[in-house]
Amino acid sequence: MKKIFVLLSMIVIFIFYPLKIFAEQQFTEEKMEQMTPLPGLRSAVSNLPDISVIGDFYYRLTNDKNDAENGILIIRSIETAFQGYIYPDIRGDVFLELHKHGETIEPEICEAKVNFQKLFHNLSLEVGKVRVNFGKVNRIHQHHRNFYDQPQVISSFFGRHGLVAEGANFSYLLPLPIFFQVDLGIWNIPKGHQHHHGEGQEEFSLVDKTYTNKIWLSLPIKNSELEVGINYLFSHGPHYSEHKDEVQICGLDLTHRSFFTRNRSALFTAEIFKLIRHLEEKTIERFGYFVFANFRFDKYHTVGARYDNVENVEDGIRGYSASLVFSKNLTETTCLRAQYTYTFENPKDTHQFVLQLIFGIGPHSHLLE
Amino acid sequence: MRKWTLVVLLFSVCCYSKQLYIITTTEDLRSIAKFIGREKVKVESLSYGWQDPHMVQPLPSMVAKLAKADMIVKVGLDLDVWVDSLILSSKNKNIIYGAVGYIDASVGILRLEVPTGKVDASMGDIHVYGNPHYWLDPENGKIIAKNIFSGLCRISPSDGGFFEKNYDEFVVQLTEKIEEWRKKFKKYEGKNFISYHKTFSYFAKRFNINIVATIEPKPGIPPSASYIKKLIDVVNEEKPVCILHENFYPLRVSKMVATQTGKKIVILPTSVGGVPEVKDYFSLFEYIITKIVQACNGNN
Repeated sequence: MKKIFVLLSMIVIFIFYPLKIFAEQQFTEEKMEQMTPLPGLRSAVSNLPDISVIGDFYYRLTNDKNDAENGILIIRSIETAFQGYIYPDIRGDVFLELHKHGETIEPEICEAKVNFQKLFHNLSLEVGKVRVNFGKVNRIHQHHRNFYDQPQVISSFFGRHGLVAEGANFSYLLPLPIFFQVDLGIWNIPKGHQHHHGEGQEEFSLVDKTYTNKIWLSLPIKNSELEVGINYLFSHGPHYSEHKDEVQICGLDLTHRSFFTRNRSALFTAEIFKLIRHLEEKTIERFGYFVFANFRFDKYHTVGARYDNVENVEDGIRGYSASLVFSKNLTETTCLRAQYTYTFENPKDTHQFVLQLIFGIGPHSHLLE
Repeated sequence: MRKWTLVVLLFSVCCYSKQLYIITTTEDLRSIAKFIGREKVKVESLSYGWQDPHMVQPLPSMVAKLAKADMIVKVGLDLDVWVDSLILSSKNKNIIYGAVGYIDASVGILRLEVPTGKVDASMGDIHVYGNPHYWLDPENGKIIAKNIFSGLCRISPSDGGFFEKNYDEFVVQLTEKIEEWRKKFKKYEGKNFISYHKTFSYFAKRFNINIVATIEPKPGIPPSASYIKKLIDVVNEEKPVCILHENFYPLRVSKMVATQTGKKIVILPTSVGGVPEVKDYFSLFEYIITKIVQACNGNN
């Protein structure tokens, strides 16, 4: 009864938001004497970086009896971002996150990076802890994604937080008429931040030295654009010290965006990955993908559907799920979302319904994702 | 014969001067830049005129264009912040903030609706530097042109005379047109209108009309049922001539208000390319004014 009451309350807020309770703003007229400052240069007078906070809450209802988050409002993460220039052409971005880690909320450096925007010619360098530019969705922070959860293939192949690593990434933008960028990353993924699915069931993740490569190109086609990413990664598995397990992942990502009048647009994204894990005694291959289609039917509302299909890295059991997503975007960083997910599982399929609230305070920006 | 062909070819190569490649964030800026640069420039806009300029999606293909550009022309006032990350990704030092090829067209504009005091999201999607839809005042078109002209002279000083001649011509033509549009619109001076968003504030000030309310309760905030009810009361009280509806916003609420108050909706582009008939900066005003006048005369 209590759960239904909470759910109904959230639906009512979802439908009737925003309430008008604030006083009218006062305005004046002024001559523009200088150029509009860039994001990151806003607080130039006081020499402060842009500071913003992004919160991500959700409430989940499911028929899975083992789900500890069923019927509880979860504060998934609170991200604080500090962004600004540290030198001409050198930009610093620090994203600190408080996020749910089992029963507790723990602090974590989500990203902390320095971007040397122009080393020479069209070469740039990013150094620090970053969400690696591998595939399309991995680089995008959760609060910017079009769905509340991470696609299964990313969680399964790279861990619950996706591919986040410490190191350096070189990007070279080829001087061609189309967008054609080559990324080469040299990383280290420290062991120690791992999640466990249950007793004795450790989550697969990559560790130690990791090398990534992405070829990213984009073709404009009339009022639409097709992006293609070809990705390759070489790393070590979680038991490298004992079993010398080496991991290779290759992937292809496709994104097609179409733009129509009246703020309407359509997005199609697909990512497909193949993981090859060399153990001392055998080689295992795993395969996974997801496809997502999204339609923005006006300035505020989008509706989308996603299908996930992935083999578990450890046991090879294939998992499938299908999701329907409805989002109401209040601002660029504030969104209310409802998502229904049907997961095909043995012995019983699960139904999951999630209401999510993402909110942003302050100037928050990301480089091209 | 071969010798002559060779001479002509060599002469052509010597005479050939590379076109400057200019990227603008909107079609309005493209139109003005093309007028001043003419055949000496190739100008491309990153957004379409029928798009909501607040909602342009940054795309990798835009990075490829910016990487080759000699000049970027921005609206500024935070309308096109989406282009900043693209400029960084393009790694083109000619067009970064502060470089000679970086033009903020808003410099020198008398900004309207500049918020005073603390600004936050409780006020809606307010632009801290003021209302950014300044190109809808044709007098501001002259300031935009001046900024573009200065930028072109900086990146190609040898063509300064050519650009100056075109800039002067633009100002003369626009001055004549403004007078013509004023006369055409004179009948509506002092009259009340409502619009969906605060897009027409500069236009209203120039042509001396009053935007007495907006369909949005606050910038970027969709109207609630209670607000629509209040708005209908305002419409009945203020008796606006018609509802000016920007053609990229949802039509549902404007239609609802129009039905309940018996007012006409005039669906208008706010940028060049917003409808096929609006091909340049001059025809944008021609179209807007003609449509409003037609609607008010019962011809639409």
